[in-house]
This record gives sequence, C-alpha cells and structure tokens, in this order.
Amino acid sequence: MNIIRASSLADLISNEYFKMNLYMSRTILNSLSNSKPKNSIQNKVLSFIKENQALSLKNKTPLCQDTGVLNVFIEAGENFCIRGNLKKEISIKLNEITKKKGMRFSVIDKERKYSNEPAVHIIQSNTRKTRIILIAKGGGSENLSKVEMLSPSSSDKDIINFAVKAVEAAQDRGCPPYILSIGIGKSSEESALLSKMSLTGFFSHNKKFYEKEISKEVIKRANRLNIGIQGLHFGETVSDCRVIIRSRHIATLPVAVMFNCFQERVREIIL
Amino acid sequence: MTEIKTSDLKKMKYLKCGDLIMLSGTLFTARDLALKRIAEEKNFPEILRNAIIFHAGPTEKNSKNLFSCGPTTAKRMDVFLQFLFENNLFATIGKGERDIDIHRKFGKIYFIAFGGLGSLYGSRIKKMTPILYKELKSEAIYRIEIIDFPVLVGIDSKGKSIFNRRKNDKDRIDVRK
Repeated sequence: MNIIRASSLADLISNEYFKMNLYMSRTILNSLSNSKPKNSIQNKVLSFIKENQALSLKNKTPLCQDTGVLNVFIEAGENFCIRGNLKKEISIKLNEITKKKGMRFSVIDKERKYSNEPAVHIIQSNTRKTRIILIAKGGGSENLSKVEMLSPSSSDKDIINFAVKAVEAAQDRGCPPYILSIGIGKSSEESALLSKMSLTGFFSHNKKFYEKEISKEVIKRANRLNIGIQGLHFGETVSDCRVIIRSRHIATLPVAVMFNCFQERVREIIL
Repeated sequence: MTEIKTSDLKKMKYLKCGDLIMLSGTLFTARDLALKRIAEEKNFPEILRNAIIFHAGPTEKNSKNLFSCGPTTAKRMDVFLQFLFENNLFATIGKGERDIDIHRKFGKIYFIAFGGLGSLYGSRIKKMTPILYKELKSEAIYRIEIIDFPVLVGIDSKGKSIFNRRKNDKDRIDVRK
C-alpha cells in the first residue's frame, strides 16, 4: 500500500486549480462553434470569447475573475491511504497559488478573512485506482442551484418541468450556455451531492449511469427558451444535462438541479 | 461600434438599448459588501457622484502584474439601486438582467458587460487604484482606468430594455433582429 502525503497531493491539486482556470472545455468550444450568429453583435461576442481564451493563455490570467471555490471529489480506491489533513493542506496550497499566480480569494469566513478554502469529499470505492475530480465553481452559476422535495408520485415529466423552470428563472445570470445536472433520490443533502458530482462528470466514464431520456427532454425544452450565449438569443442555452437516479425513501423524491457556467472548469486526476 | 468616453455623460444619454459600445475612461468597481457598507454608513462617497460603477471583483495580480476582472451578476445588487440613484450615481455595468422599473424611475442607464471574460476586461484596465475598503480585497472599491471596454446598452435612459422576460412589455427591444 502506497501512503500518500497530504501535502504532495495538495501540491498536485493546487497546480491543477491554476491550469484549469486557463482552458475552456471541449463541450463548450463545440457548442460555440456550432452556434449560428445572426447579427454583428452576436459575431462580435463570439470573437470576444475567443480573444479572452487567447489572452488567458498569453498572459496567464484566469478565463474568469471568479476562479471559483474548488470542489474536490476523491473516489478512493482500495489502496488509497493518506497521511495528514488533506483539506487543511489543500487550503494552504490554494492560498499560496492564489497569491502567487493571480487567482482570486473568493471565500470569506465570518470574521471576513479571505481565503480559498475548498470543499473536499472522499467517497470510498472498491476500484484499484483512485480518481480525483476537481471543479472550480463560480458563484454566479452556484446561486442557481435548486433542491426540491417533489411528491413521490411525480412523473419524469414533473422532474423535467422542475429543471426547465429552474433554467427559465436563471435566465442569463449564470453565464449560459449552461451545463446542467440533476440528482434524483437519496436524501435532501445527498441529492445535492449527487447532482454536483454529476456536474463534474464524476459518472461520465460510464454513460449507462445517466438517464438519457430525461436529459434529452430537458436539453430540448431548455433550448426552446432561447436564452442563448450571453443571453443574446443565439446558440445553445443548455449544452449538456447529466441526470442520475438513485434509491430513495418511499415517501420522498428529492431532486437537485445544478448549473455550470460556460467557463466549465473541470479536471480529472488518476492516481 | 461607437467609441465613447465615460466623461461624456451627455452622449451616453442618447445611447439606445442594444447598442454595442467601446467605453474608455474611468470606472469604479463595487460589489455586494462594499455597497452594503456604503448604504449602511449612509455616507455616499463624493467620488461616486455622476460616476459609473462596474460590478466586479478582480483577481490578485500575477508575476507580470496582470489580472482578470470581468463583471459579476448585477441582479444581486438591485437592492442598492434606489440609494445609489438618489445620490446621483450615473450608471452601472454588470452582467445579466436587472430591475428595469427602478431605472425607468430615475432614467438611468445599465450597461451589460459580457460574463466569463475576465482576461479580456482585465487586459483593458490600464490602471487600478484601491479607493475605499482596501481590506475587502477583491470587494474593495477600485478606481480603474479603462480602454475599449466592450459593453452593451441593456437599459437606456428612456427606460427601454433588451430583456425579454416581460412578455407584455411594449418598451422591449428584441436584439435578435
């Protein structure tokens, strides 16, 4: 069994946090290149997005000033063994890299002290390898999250309606095109966790985990709202939707909808 | 695309919603916490009279002295608009839709900056000086000197807006066309 030092892992994670803030995601780049701008403003906006990406790489400045709260999901394999306080170490390293590389301190405590304290979740698994998924989550899209306890007799259509209404209420506040996730089942708090994990692509290695029918319908209906890129009514409103259903109490149906902005910053590390 | 100076208040009043303009001159950053403090202290900073606020919080500077500084969601700060406009703030810049009624009441302009473009806006800020609440880091009020800031007129001084939320709103203009 390899024992990993928490500080070494924290180094790796904080370096990724810097890098992931410089590169746009494949899903969104595809979505943008398939958009059909109809006027000069829409064309101009696409060119600004391209220029922003180029400037990030040239100047080593983050794509978005909201470099996000880092959410760390560790799928700990059978041999995963760590020495030290991982959350504390990641916190220290994130604060260092934030100062050194020009990221933003976006977390504030009750004494109004600024930091970049992450959220760290360790999930046990019987796999051989350990997977670490990182998502840097900005405040604008995080504010759009919704958890609702639906009636257990609700149909798929009710769940779809709930998700589409969340997009309609969001309008362009969280920087569309959005990536959406829906966690269905478990308890109120676990549906939220499930949803956030789906948003990171945690389950994307095995597509059969996703509920394709619900996802397809949400994408179709949300795109009919035509909020579009930067709220300018062109291109996609929702580029992807990842839906996970898990077991639940017979009397409850928790549903959690979450959003990611078009500056989707996600990374996977395999140990 | 119209180029316009932030000091040219008269020219800005004639802008129409849906216009894409390149703004140059001086802005002041202010977001949630700084605006809350100003409102609580009921002591409106003289420097903000007839000024334009940019709802934004920059990153730290990197080793090349460069940083990112794009807009944040304006709607969260709608609660401060009455107070700001009563004290003669000229206009605001943020991202996303915001309260149209309060703009109509005061005849104020709202500019939309494009979200998620921190590197682009940051590169067009030539000077950044903290003015108030320095301890609030990214939430402090900075005076920034900008050049060619691309912004869209979201609500113009006549109260026309580009937001399509209100389906029966006669004063809405559709930028799709």
